[in-house]
Amino acid sequence: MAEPNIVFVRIDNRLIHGQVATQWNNTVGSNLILVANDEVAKNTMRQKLMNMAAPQGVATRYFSIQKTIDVIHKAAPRQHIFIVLETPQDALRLVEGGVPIKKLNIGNMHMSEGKRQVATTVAVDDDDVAAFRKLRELGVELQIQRVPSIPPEDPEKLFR
Amino acid sequence: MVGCIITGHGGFAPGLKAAYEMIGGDAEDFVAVPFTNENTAEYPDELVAAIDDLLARDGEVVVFCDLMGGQPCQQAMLAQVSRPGVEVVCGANLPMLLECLMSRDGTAAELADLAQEIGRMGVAHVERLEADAAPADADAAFAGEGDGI
Repeated sequence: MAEPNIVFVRIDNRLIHGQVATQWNNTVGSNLILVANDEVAKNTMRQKLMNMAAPQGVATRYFSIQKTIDVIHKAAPRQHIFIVLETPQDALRLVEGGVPIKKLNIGNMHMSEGKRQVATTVAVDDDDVAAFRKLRELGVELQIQRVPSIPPEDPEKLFR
Repeated sequence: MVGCIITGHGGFAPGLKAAYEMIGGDAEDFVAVPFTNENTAEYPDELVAAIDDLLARDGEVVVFCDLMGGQPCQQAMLAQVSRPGVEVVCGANLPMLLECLMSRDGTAAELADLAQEIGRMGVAHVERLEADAAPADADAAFAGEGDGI
């Protein structure tokens, strides 16, 4: 079976929003944004709101993590897929489930109780760090970059 | 590339520019010229200077104004009289800028037409969100087609 054409994978708390829809999508040239998230897959209201933010001419899908693992290999070559995730734990589930992710962009991970700020827009706890470490061991390149127009930050910041 | 100026009353121009940059990132040859209580006397010269600067760099300029008939719009239209290559659009909004600042390869007149079209599309009385009685399995229709996901 042909490998799915995954052009970009990003962690972003806000999933599809202006920066994702406008800047990243223009940069990576996808025609399908796949939100892989168990909560959103069941929440049609959030799906409708995100469809409003999605760029015209770009399709959207809202799959659970398991559904993504199950169907990703059915993707057609013409589908240039941009996967948006909420957490590194979800990214790890996808990779362990056989979704071919070579590089993971880390955009927005909001500060909250029990997390520490490690980069401009990235806050993590120990569980997040463990997931990132495992992802790296599995050969996934990590990249911290909020928007394409500003330079990436050192991914080692995650592990300090 | 067509140069672009956003101008309007109070904090409108810098505010809209900052809003654009949060979503669209930095844009080249995109200048905000505010009209405030503090610069009413100097404003016409400041606007003309910004227009002439961008004309020298880009050859053509679109001035996006907040309000038809307002002072910024009037001054932009006066400046336009003696300057071919300058187009003026009123009723500037964020959807208009997001589309136009990324579509600047044509002429200023084409860009101004696009601005009017997109700006109007961006105004809508949205439908109230309703929770679906039974959450549709939104992805079921796409699975197993054998022709993509």
